[in-house]
Amino acid sequence: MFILTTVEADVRVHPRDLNKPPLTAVTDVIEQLYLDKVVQDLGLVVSIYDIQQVQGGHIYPNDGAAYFKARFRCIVFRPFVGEVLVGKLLSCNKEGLRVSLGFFSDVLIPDYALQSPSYYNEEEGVWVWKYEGSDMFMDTGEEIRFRVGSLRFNATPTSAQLQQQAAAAAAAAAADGGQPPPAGPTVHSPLEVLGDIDGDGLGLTCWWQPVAEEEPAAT
Amino acid sequence: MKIIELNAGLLSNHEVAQVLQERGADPSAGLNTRAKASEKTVYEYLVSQAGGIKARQELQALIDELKPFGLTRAELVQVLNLAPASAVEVHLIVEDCEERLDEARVEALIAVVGRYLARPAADAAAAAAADGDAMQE
Repeated sequence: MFILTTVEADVRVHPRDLNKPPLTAVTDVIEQLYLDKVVQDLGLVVSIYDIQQVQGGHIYPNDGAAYFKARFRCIVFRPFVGEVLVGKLLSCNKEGLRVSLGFFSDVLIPDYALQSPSYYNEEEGVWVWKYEGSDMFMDTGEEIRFRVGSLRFNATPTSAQLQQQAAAAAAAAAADGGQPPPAGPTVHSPLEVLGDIDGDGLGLTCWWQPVAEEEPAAT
Repeated sequence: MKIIELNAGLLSNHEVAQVLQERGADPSAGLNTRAKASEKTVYEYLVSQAGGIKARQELQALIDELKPFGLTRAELVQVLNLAPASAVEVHLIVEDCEERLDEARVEALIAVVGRYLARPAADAAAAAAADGDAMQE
């Protein structure tokens, strides 16, 4: 699920950091800019592997900072299509499941990608897979194995788009029955991994444990 | 910024964990290390995965033993990451499994993986499943 990517970037070192050795200063800026950030069309940068080349160090008039050009390799979380991953089930809603990988929580498994047939239990708020007559509940916190279907990069919304979203949410809530729109800003996910658990071996790992007799334990 | 080379290599979880460990991401390294909080979270996730984190030399021996199975690079990395312990998991990882590996070969693959990558997670999950059944009844 991780790849190594070579990147070349312009790095600006603030004047207050100029007493540090250049390599350290550049590394610190790169870490601050890239670590734990999603780069569009690349993935989530997890760690810096090494710095291959640092050039420059020019200081321009009116700006006391030093400008470098750095070439470095970083470890990026970018699962490939068809890769099988294991995570923890974070939450269920009627649109599907949300799975977390500890450091990354935007894995979505839409309702059409669940084992068939599955149905949503409204009272308990969980999805249930009907396997040979018995109900397999997908409880939160369980380990779940899924296959990656696609990656979706969402561009950061501009302030105009944010206003439109807020207006649309308010209109939808008003149409629903005069209730106030949900409080708090909607969280923007820059990277979403869409997965599926429709296949042998996919879904909760406890369903496929090689037990003595038959597999999924029934109630 | 410019991406010079999008994919300079596919890394297995073990390799990434080793890099993070060198940066001081494991809990035993204390607080004053180069690793940031996000790296520690990634390291925690990797360590909790099936198979745990193994050193380079042990992995090399495993990779050499897996060569005769004819796995592609992506499948090999997935085997290292997931440590399949049952035929169902092997079928998930290897494309066209029925044509490329027959049952005996799948069993052999599981045996090789089992020798190098321990599965403590499997026992814990089996125990949890047993507890879950008792509670549901």
